[in-house]
Amino acid sequence: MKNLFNPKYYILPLIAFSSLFFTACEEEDDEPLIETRIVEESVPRYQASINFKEKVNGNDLQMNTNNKPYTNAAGQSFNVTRLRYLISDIKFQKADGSSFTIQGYHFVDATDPADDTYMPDAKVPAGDYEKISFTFGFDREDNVSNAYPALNIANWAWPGMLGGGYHFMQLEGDYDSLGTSKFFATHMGTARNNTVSPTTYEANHFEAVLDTAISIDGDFSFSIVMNVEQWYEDPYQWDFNVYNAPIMPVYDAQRKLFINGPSVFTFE
Amino acid sequence: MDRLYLLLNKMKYYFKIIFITVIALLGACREDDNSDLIIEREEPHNNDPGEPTPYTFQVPAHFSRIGAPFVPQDNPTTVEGVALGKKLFFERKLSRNNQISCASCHKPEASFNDPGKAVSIGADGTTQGIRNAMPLFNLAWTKITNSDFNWHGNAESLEEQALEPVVNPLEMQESWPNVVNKLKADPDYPRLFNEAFGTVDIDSHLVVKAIAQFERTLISGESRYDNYINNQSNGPTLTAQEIRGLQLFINEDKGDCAHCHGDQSNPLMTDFQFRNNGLDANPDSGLAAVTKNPNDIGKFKTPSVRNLVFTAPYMHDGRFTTLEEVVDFYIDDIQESPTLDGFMRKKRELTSQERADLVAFLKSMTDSSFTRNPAFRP
Ligand code: HEC
Ligand code: HEC
Repeated sequence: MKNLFNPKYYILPLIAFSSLFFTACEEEDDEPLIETRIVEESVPRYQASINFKEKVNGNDLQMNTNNKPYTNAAGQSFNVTRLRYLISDIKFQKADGSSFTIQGYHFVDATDPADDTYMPDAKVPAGDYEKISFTFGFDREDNVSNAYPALNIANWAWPGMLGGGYHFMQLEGDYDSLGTSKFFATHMGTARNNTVSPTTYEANHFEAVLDTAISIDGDFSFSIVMNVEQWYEDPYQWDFNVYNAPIMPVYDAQRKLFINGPSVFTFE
Repeated sequence: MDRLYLLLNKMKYYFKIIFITVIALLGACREDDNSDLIIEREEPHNNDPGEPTPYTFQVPAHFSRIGAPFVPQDNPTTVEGVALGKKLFFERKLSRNNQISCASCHKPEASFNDPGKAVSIGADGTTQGIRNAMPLFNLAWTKITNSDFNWHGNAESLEEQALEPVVNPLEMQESWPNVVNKLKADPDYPRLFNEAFGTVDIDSHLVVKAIAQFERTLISGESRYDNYINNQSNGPTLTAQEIRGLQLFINEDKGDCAHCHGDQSNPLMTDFQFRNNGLDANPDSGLAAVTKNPNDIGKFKTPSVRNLVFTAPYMHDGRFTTLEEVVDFYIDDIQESPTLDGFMRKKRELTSQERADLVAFLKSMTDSSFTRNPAFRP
């Protein structure tokens, strides 16, 4: 996001201000605000409808299975009992380097069909785009503690002592460890490094690039696919016995997710 | 919520335009407001009490972190509705032989819980229920997380929930036609229903609407913990021990309570989701009784961990008498079962000092201004 205003400084007054507006004037809703947005643009704009899919080795993810149907690159079988994640700022880039970004976030709970489709308010200008990308999690500027009510109420905050902001992902399940079933919780967010002094807090979001050209000349839709197994194999081979739970405070685990992340997403 | 966020983002770019638009709209609204005010001041004709007055929720400032309370469109909260709902909440005529009211099991001085009773007792004074009564506060946010009411989520709204205790053979043991007749014969109720709903034709749906309106006003968020997380406030905050307890509550490699019970960003201290926290190896059906899904066996609604000093004993069947027992359970005694929540399938290790710190923190979320609030008394 552009650095015009840092949300830290205006978010509280704005919430107070806009709630005043909403309560003062319920019937009006926010429709008039949306219309003011297109003022200076003459290019037609179209509605994006973005679907989110989760797959393992090319097949739709099956959750809460009694067995452990999946195997990671380290040969450990596992299943998935929870998968929730956050993406933001979907960006459409042209060959000439210019781009259009849909400001905002989308939160996906893989068990909730209502989260499968994201229909952003912002419409995308017509044109030929070379690639689509998005931020996995929040970039540093957006990753501001307490700022997003819908995420707060979902217990989605990332602990202040680990740098604050929000979780980017909760991927949980059981894996087989020498015949016994153990729990893993691959939670991702800001990477705290307390092996150095002073402690550092490293932004851990990444840009996922969907290398695909798209021509927009009408309302359009596409899918973003999370290939779950990729979190655990490319390039770093994940060993559930080393990184099971808790890994939120484990710097190396956080950075490995950052390294493995970019190959996780594909366009469909 | 997402909408608000998108709006904020747009504001980055269109701040000026929006600012002007908003000012213009606010101006427009203000005229409407004035005309409303004029209508309100008119003397009621005959039996027409006029429009009820919209009720303004008393929400602590830091609850802006979770957005506005949810109010269903077909039951807006009004001053008159809340007042009627309160009277009904304390009304013994809702029970067989006029023995008990909602407040008998949901006592305001105990955070609207029934302290000291593992399971509740029905109107006849002998019938034992099967569940621990639930404290009632911050209920207006339950639906925002798409959750439902009661321990196992069998009521989809507060209105629907309130229909049930009256006729439940373990609770008020009455019938709705009887209740409605008793209220119609009362010297006050027809007038109060008329003021709240514009009709003297009392029925069960209006009764539960009024009760639900009152329940939504029960908001608790003024404890020392709230002072601590709400930077602007300057009341007494947490002690060093309680702060240690808070860290243990949040830390994934310590108590790891926050993944289910919330943290500074979620002052409700629950996300209202249904989970199996490992009380039993052969758990009670719980949520599965409603969904018929075997994956939901043993799942109960995650309760808020506020106001616990008022609400012992704990858990859906009231099995633990003290918070020390609760904390020991989480560390030493989790029972495996197929639906056990992942966050429970790992060993927690806390020293006796840490356990004491955690309990101290839990007790810091005590809001006596809520339990003493005269607005919530008959
Ligand atoms: C005999 C004791 C008793 C009486 C009387 C009683 N309740 Fe309850 N209440 C309970 C118990 C026990 C539960 C938990 C029920 C369950 O989960 O099955 C409960 C649950 C609730 C809940 C759910 C809270 C939540 O967070 O999901 C609400 C709301 C509630 N009661 C409101 C009322 C109202 C309104 C009345 C009067 C019409 C009332 N109760 C009368 C014992 C009682
Ligand atoms: C997996 C999610 C989860 C985690 C993690 C968790 N809880 Fe709970 N907690 C629950 C659920 C669900 C219940 C209700 C269980 C029941 O009654 O069946 C509960 C009940 C409680 C209660 C009883 C409240 C009442 O009103 O009866 C307390 C106190 C409590 N938890 C404290 C803690 C503490 C302290 C921790 C951390 C050590 C913790 N919980 C971790 C889910 C969780």
